[in-house]
Formats: sequence, structure tokens, C-alpha cells
Amino acid sequence: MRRRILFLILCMGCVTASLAVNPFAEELLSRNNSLVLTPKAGVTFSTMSQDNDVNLFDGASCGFMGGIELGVRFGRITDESPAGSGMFGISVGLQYSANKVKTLGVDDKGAKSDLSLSSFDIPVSVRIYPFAKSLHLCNLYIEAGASMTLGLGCDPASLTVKGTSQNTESVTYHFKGNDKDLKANDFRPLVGVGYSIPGTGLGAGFRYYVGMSDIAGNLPCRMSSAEVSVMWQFKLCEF
Amino acid sequence: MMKGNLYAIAVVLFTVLTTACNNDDIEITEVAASFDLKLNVSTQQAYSQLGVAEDIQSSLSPSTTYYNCVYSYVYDAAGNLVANDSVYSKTLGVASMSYSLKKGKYTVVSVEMIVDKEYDYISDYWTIIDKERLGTLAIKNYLNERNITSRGVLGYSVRQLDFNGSATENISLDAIGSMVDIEAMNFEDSPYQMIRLATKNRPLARYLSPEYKGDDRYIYDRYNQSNTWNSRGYLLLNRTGSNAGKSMSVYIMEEGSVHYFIATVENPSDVKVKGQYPSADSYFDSRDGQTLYGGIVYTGGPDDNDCKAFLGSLKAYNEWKSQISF
Repeated sequence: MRRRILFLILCMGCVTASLAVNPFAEELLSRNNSLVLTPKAGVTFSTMSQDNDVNLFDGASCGFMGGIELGVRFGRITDESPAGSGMFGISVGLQYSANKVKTLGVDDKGAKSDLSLSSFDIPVSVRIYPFAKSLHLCNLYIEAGASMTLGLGCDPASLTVKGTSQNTESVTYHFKGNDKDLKANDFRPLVGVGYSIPGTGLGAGFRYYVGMSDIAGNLPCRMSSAEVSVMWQFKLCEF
Repeated sequence: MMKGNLYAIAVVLFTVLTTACNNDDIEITEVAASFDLKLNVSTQQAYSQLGVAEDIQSSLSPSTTYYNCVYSYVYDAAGNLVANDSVYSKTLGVASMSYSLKKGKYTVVSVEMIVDKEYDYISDYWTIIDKERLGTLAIKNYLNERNITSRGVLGYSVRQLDFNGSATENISLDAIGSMVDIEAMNFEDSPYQMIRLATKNRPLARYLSPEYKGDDRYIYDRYNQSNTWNSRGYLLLNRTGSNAGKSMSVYIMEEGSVHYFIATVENPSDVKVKGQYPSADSYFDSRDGQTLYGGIVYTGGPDDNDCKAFLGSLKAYNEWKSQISF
């Protein structure tokens, strides 16, 4: 599944590159809005909140992500500004994430192990460009939205931790290998900030996803992630 | 139309988000915590009950290879063995053992016996068999030894525990079976060289589970409705020496009504019995931890009826003894 998603992302990147050379650019000058495609890749730092009766989370750990975003920036900040230079925009993304946290548990071989949750994410956000009139900071934006997180898998297959009560010596969470695989689907609000260098399309972004759903019905842990990414924006068209 | 489409989209979105937010359960297995159970097993009482504590302590002197051994077996509520331990000691006192157990109901069975270091810490008489299940746990006379002395005395305890956390249990062992002391009197001028205690049945093993009551506790040797007599102990009579009129002590493990006789034997190399006393149809009542007292006296009467005998409580025996004349 992970290979398929990476292949999809690669294909969309190729399409983006082909569209970057737009033979009809002059026609677009009369339009006010711009449609932008943005491949991005980066690292994630994830933490996990847990209820008192769970003793799983030990610390944040580093994962990775990659994907594309399709964004629209509305309007012109001045009459002379190019289309898509206004203060507002929206963005929809498709990305693969492997979020990882350190745990207090050991895997089925007895080795201390991190918990890695891979997912296919669909982040949707609204963007504000507060310095749209600025020469250098015109592409700085802050964003807020939500991301649909569809769990793809996890590693390891199980984790065993010490019990939280005096009556329990250990607890083993079986994440896969039976008919009750861990899904870890979520709907996560997000906030972020991003910037691209005017005239280059190169940029960087930061997002924070707030985990809202227990990763399993009987495992009250919610994974939140900070994401740092580099991106390359391609203007597809103006409209 | 537009409203309908928006409604449909909203329903789809709601369904998708609800699905995303409610994850299925996974399989979670828990291992219950373990707690310490300490057993302090007092080893003196069982031997004292049968009046053999001094004999036992002598057997345990540093010059011998004998040790007092306490075995403890812990069974869960289903009767499965979950822990066991043993302690060897040269003195009688308290044997301590520790177990790590989960909360629950347990049955703790403790047994003590004298073992010989020279023979890999095995008793001269007994072995504990089928320990894996409480229902099959038993003490067996593994060498089929018929004449068991005070060194074969057994102590035991069955304690049922509702274990709710770390705890210390103090256990005093009680004797299994009885001692039978028989005194031989006035045999200096008799034709006999041996007296012998015989019982109709002889248990080879005794179950320790509390589920067994009465006679169901015993596995008998060659048991059938017309069982043969079994020798349980004998005394070689020294008719001319200073040991004339000495006594014998016999250990028997059974409880209940015991069919017995005390036999006179002319030739120790011949199993043939001359007389049976008090009669061939005598019974005594045996209780765990009880010592029975008896005597046989040569009266010089006619053949097969030239002795008198008695076996019972100490008080009854003393009364009988005060009334006989020889």
C-alpha cells in the first residue's frame, strides 16, 4: 500500500512538472485567481496523549511525510499585482505520513520499540496571507483546517508494556496479525504557517495536527504531529 | 435540487468523518500482577503429636545423613500445580518458603518427612507422587516397606487461601496416621522369638486433596474383599538377654477402624503365625496424630491361647495392664 501511494505521488509530481511550462500563460493574465500545485516532503515529530490507565507513550519521535497539494489563492492585492496574490487561499492535499512515537513497550522479540503509524492524509486548509502587500513576505501564509487521516498500517505487530495498576503485571496490545488490526483513522484539526520565496516557488512549511480520535476503540491514545516540509509550488493556471 | 445535493454531500461527509473518528477495538491481553506469598511452616508439631519429636531430633543429629524436609505445593482453583518448593533442615523449627503468585484462590499442601542425603534426599519409606494435580497428589510407600518406624512419620497441612496480595501464612503441620506402641511381657520362658503386628489391609498411598474423605483417601495394597494379612511391624524377642520384654513402635498411616491382630511367632525365619491376639477379629480405632498403646503377655496357657493382648488408648491399656497377672 505504501508503494502505491508513493507511486501516485511521483506520478502527480510528473504531471505538475509538465504543467509548469504553460503555453497559454498570457491568456491567464486577465484572471484574478491562481491554481497552484505543490509537491512537498518533510519530517514529522509526533507525540501521543493517553489516558491514565494506559502506559504506552514515552516520547516524541521523528517520522516522514510526502505528498502534493492543490491550492487556490484568490484575488489580486493591487490592480497591478499578478493573479492569485490576494490575502486568502485554500488548499487540499494528498499525502503519505509515517508518524512515530517512542513507547515504553517491547515488541514480540522483547526489544524496546517505537510505534509507527502510517497513514494516507487529506488535509484541507484555509490560508491567510497577512503580508500580501509586502515585496518579500507576500507569500507568507498562516493556515487552519483539518485533515482526514486514514490509517494504513503500523509497526510493530504488538507492544507489551507494564501494567498501570498493581493488579496488572503487563499489557500486550496486538496491533495486527489478527482480525482486529489497528486502524488509527482520525480527523485532525491543523494549523500551520508557510512561506515560499517570491518568484521561485521554493518554500517551506510547518503544520501541527491535533489528534482527536483514539487510535483504537479500546486504546485511548491520540497521536498529534508537527510537520516540517519543503515544497515547490507550480502555478497551474489563473482563472 | 441544490439543497438536495448539499444535503447528500453533508451526509457523506458526516459518514466519512464519523467512520474516521471511531476506530475498532484491537486485541488486548493482560497478565495479572504477581505478589509474594511467604509460608512459615512449623515442623515440630506433627512429630510432637505422635511423641516422636525427640527420636526425630536424634535422627537429625549432625553425625547422620538425615534431614527433615518440608515440601509445599501450591495449586490454583482448578487444581493445577502452580508452584512448589522444598526446604531441608537439620533441626525442627520453622521452614520458610516464598512464592510469587497472582491473586486468586489457592490450595497449599505442605508435607514433611525425614529424608536421607546419602540417597539423594529421598525418604526411606515415602515419595510424593502425581504432583501436577491436587486431585492426584499422594504420598506413596514406594519401597513397599511393611515395618515403618518413627523415622517414617509424616506431617502435613492443607490450607485453602483466598490470596488478595502479598501475605504471610503461618502453618503448623499435623501428623498423618498413628503410632502403635506394643509392649511384650513375660516372654522369657515362652517358645516364641517374635511378635508381629498384622492388619487386614495396608494402604500403600494416601491422597492429600481435601476432596477425598474417609477411606477414599487411601490406595490399598492388593485390596480385595478377602485380603490377606499384612505385617506392619515386628519385635524380635531376646528371651535371655537384658532386652527381654522390650517394646516396639510401629507407624501406620491410615485412619479409621483397623482390623488387626498381634501374632506370636516361634521361628522368625518362618512366616507361620502361632497365635492371634486378642483375636483374629480384633479392631482398633486409628486417628491422625494419635498414639495407641498395647501389650501382649505370655501367660503359659494352652497352645494357640497362651497369651493375652490389648490395644487401645493409654488409659485403657493401663487399666488392662493392672488387671492382668502373670
